[in-house]
Amino acid sequence: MWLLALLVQRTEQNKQDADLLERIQRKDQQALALLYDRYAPVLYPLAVRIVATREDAEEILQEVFLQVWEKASAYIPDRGSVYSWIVAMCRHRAIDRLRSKGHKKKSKETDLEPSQSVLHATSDSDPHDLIVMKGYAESVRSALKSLSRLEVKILELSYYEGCSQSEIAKMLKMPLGTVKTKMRKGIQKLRQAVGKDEV
Amino acid sequence: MTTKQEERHKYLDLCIPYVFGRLNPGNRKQFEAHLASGCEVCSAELARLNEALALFPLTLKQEQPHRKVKERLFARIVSAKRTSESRRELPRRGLKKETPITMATEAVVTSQRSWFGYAIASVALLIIVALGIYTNDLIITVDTQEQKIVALQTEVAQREEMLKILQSQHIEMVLMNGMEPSPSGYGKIFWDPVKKTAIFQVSQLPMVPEDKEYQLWVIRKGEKLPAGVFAVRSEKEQESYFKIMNLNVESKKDVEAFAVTLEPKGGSPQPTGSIYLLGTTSLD
Repeated sequence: MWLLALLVQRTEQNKQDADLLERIQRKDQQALALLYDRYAPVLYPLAVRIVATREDAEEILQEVFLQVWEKASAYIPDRGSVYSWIVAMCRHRAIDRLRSKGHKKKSKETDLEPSQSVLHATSDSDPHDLIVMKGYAESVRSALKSLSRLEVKILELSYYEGCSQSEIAKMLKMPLGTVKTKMRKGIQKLRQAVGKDEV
Repeated sequence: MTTKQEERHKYLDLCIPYVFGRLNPGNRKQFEAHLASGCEVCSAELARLNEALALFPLTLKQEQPHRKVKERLFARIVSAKRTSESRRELPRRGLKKETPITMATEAVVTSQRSWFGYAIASVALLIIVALGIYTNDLIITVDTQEQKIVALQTEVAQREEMLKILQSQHIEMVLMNGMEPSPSGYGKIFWDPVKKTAIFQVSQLPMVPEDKEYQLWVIRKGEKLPAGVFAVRSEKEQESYFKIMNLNVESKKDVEAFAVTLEPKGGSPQPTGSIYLLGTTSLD
């Protein structure tokens, strides 16, 4: 029931986001401002986590919302929610910057310990979002608890560091097949958190 | 497994590297062509993967970027709009950007061999430098004006949103009173229980240091639910700070109170600091 309530809230939020995107297509700046207020507190830490500098993260955040402003029509609802579309854009831009020549990240963890970032979650955007996001963050955290440290580490290296499966295999000194299996399993468990998987 | 199933399986295997942006250009092109052909299985798989991975950042500590980031974003939008408009205008007006430079070059060439010519060239160069400085000043002025326009547009849009909320047929309101750390402080929340949008306004709260923020709480059945953070960092905000937000509260009967506490920047999962404002629904 609790998961169902979360899904209902999330569906309502998706609908609101889709409405905002429609208004953005009609060049409504207020709609963009609302979308920004809603998701900047999630996207900004994501960019900081990937590129490690606040200046770069701020630049990425602006680029993401400029892209939303200019390319709102590129959103394909069949490929996921507006939220997941924006998060993917932010991550890709941050990873591109990370890979770009001359960008040096402060540190790169290669041991098997997941970073502390996955172990806590707080929310500070508006209340409606918070209740939804908070519930989701809790679901993700509980899903992450069911993942082995290795599975979390592989997902982190892939998601935050932009490493390929072969690079992870080399880094963690394990067969490529194991990395692929662990990654698939990890994602499958994460999917359970969104309540849309048949596992 | 039939050939068709094998083919489908191959593409499903590409979904994970695709969402992680790790397909080589050839495979990526092939996979995107496959998606464009309308494969519902792969589209659904991508949607599921995107949704699952989009949850990952929710485990990070949320943080509001500096408000200048938003201002710069909207300044870029206005500036891009202005540039595209002026690009459309230029050919129509028949302006030539290089005109002053062409004039100066011609002046130098035609009077090259005489003192008079040098004097004209020097004057022309001085005019160009002066024009350059003047243009630069104009650009700075335009940038400043643009920022003011963005700020005004945002303010107007916010006021329109406020009006929409206030025009609601079933508006609810809770007043908040200052507590011990700030007895002169006060605040109010108006919300539309149907649309679940709210206006949150506070006044006379002390300014907070960089590492702190105020946090709003909804107290429901004894449970304290975080409802957003905000910071009062200027005299103007101290006089009156407001924000428009979503509020998932259907009726005053749903909640016992609203409270504002001082917390570390980014907020806390549960209140840790002193209560600055408190508004109980029973008193209204």
